[in-house]
Amino acid sequence: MNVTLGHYLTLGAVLFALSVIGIFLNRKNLVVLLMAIELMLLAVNTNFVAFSYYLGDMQGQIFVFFILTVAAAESAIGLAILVLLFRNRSSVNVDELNSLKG
Amino acid sequence: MLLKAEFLSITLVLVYVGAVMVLFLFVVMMIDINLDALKQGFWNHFPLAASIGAVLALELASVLMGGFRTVQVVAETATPAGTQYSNTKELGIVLYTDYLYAIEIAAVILLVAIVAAIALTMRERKDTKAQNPGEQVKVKAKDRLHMVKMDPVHQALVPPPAEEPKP
Repeated sequence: MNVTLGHYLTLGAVLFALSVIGIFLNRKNLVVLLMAIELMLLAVNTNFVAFSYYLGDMQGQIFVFFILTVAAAESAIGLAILVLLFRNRSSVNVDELNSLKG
Repeated sequence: MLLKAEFLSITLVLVYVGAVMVLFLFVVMMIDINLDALKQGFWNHFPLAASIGAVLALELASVLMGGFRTVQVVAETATPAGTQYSNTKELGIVLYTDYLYAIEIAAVILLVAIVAAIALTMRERKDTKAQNPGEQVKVKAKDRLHMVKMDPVHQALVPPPAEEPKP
């Protein structure tokens, strides 16, 4: 069986749907929320690489690079905020995030 | 790897395993989460989440499998598929010529992320004796040594007290 572009896009879609389920299912734990966002960005990356290969264009892979950069920065800042929240409230509940207002 | 994007696949694996996973593990180990409080009410949203996810996945799969099954590979004809072809080299050439400003902006974003993460998590410790170099540089000689004016005469003229007579 030949692997077509549709299969790759379906894989990306399934990953994206999984991360959406994760976000909806779990509105309390900030760690799992951040992981779900990472998974979402990874699904988009899969789509980009698949299109880049099937359309013979290098720009898609370039864009994956920048998405990767932004994802890394986002996870770093998110985890820093998480550590700050835990230090002040000693929990990782999303509902208590508004207590960090200056 | 399957899609002839070797450099990007290895980079993704390295970044996610080496950086993101280690970061998450450190944070999970560092903070001591009370899981019982978080577990309650976990399955309350499950029907909503499952239905939304299923609908999303099915719609996306149907559209994508229908629409893109017939797209053929253009990559073999567009790029020279010889043994000399290097994905990394091509990527680097495009990255450092056409996207030079973009890559510099990406570097700045990473720098901002480093600065923000450190600034958010840094705190002053009360129990350490740290020096403040700014105050050390700004200090004057006047602050170190105090000249006290005293009258030199009075103390010398007073005679020493007489010895107690021994019994």
